[in-house]
Amino acid sequence: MINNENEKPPVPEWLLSTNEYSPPRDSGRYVGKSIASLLGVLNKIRRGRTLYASKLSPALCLLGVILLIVLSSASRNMFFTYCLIAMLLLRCCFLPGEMLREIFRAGVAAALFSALILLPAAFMGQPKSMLTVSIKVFYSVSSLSLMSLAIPWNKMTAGLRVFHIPNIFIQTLDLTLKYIYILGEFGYQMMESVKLRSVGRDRSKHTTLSGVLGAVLLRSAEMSKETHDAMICRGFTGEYGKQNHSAEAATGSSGSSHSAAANAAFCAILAAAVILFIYLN
Amino acid sequence: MHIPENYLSPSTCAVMTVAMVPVWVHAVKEVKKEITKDKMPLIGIAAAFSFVGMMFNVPLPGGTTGHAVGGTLAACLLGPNAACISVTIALLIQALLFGDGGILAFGANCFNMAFALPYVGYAVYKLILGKQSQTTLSAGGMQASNKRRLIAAGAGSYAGINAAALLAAIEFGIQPILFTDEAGLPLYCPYGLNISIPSMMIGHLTIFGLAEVVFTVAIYAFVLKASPSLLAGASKASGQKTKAEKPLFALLAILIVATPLGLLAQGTAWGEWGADEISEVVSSGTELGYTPSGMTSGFSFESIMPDYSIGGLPEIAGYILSAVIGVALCVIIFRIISAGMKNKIDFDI
Repeated sequence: MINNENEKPPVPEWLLSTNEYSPPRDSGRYVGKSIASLLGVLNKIRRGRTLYASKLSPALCLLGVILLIVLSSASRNMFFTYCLIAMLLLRCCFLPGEMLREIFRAGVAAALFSALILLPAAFMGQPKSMLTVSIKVFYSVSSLSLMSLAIPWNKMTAGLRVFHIPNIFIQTLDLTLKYIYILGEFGYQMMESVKLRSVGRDRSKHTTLSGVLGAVLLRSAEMSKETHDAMICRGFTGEYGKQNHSAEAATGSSGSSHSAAANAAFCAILAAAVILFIYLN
Repeated sequence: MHIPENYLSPSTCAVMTVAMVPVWVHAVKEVKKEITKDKMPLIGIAAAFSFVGMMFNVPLPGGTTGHAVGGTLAACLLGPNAACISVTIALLIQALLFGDGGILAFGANCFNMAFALPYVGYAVYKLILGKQSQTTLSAGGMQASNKRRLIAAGAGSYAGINAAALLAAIEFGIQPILFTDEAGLPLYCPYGLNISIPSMMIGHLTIFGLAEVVFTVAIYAFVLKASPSLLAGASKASGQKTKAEKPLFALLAILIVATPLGLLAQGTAWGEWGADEISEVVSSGTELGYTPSGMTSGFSFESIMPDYSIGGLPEIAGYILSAVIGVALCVIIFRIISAGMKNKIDFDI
């Protein structure tokens, strides 16, 4: 250090030799695909929030959709199912196309899958049952995906309280749904950074991914503790009270929140469906 | 005019379908160019009108029925290429879900109703309209031009539906000439050109043609009055667009509720008898007396709601339900297509 000018430290041999290293090409498909699928899910969650918000109260909507699905599967008269499908399609006529694509992609895929499963029935002389089941599956899946796209998840969990579901379940569900998004984004960032830093061929990709997953797990444990502390600091007593819910409705009454007219109309439709079901079966 | 399964030989169907492929390709290409993303749902509405129009059966003395198609209407509103696609989708829904028109005969039906009808109708419409359509600035001029547009649309639709009927009659008529079994009996449609052409054309030159004209002119006049912005070439803001669609949806709802009127017409359209009916069909005084063998052993497709009805229920309920489902599907399909399109921005404006 002191007599720096007189004695140069010897340059290591390896620094002087020209480096002929060119990294073997890696297809990178593994990490790339994982990133893409993760992003797809995250996008879906994000888009579902902003595209369209239903004016129905979440609890009523959930109850109604479950009721309609049960009725359609219990019905032995296909006319009833067709009526329900006609109602669903009519509702869908007034929705934006991006949303329709999501809804019917799910519905048609599920219907095709169930048709495939029931294909043997067609060969054993029951082609009608294949059709019936596929149509009912189409109806159930489409209406569920319509609901899940039209009602934001946080509203839905708040609505669950109406059914007297224990607080602990709602809290868990609520936190899970919120953290799917946050942790998903965390995982995505880690994956992206792994991809950017990796040079050459990675022969143990599964360990990479398991490392990422492990990090996400640790992070989630840390975050859950912090969140819980934060919630208690802000006065959370473990109760998902109803006053919470009504206060929100009161503040949001002018804007996008639920409207009485839409709720009444939905109730009327449900009543009509029940009457039709009793009449036809 | 929907040719059912097994009335045409499979080879005829294949030829017609192959003939239809370039038309579809051309129509899709052109529509991609000339129809913007926010105008795409309008094609669905046109398809829905066509679907509903085909449900209004009009009776003709003598026991047959016919209906309007509405292809020229779509052509006048959106251009012949969009009309081709919209009628094709309406026909596809009818064939797959309601058993109206055969699956194998789909190509032939499209050739008649989705290709010949809108293009001929549009050609006549343009011919009559001439160059006047461009000069519509003053209010008085607008009025006069609207009248002229309606006349042109009416004439176009009349020409279009008759062209389609003539083609269908020829397709029916060549079957007994080309395809017979060992005994000399026709395999498929049993009537030659000398019977099929008069039978089809008498109906379409008179009452069914009139029905098409009334349907086209009435709805065209409604569009001109209720939402003229749809006709404007320039693309509008999306808010205005949905406002313009509202009267159309209202009209569709009224038409759907009125569809059971189409059930008043008893009897089957010419050339659309079922395999069980055909041996009893009387033409020029003699009963046919046999069922062509190609019909009994041919391809059969079990549709979900054959003949727009559902077993064990009043016909009216089934008919309205079918109309609702068909119309909603038309609208939804084009909404989804529109969502898949890229936003096109015209930098020339």
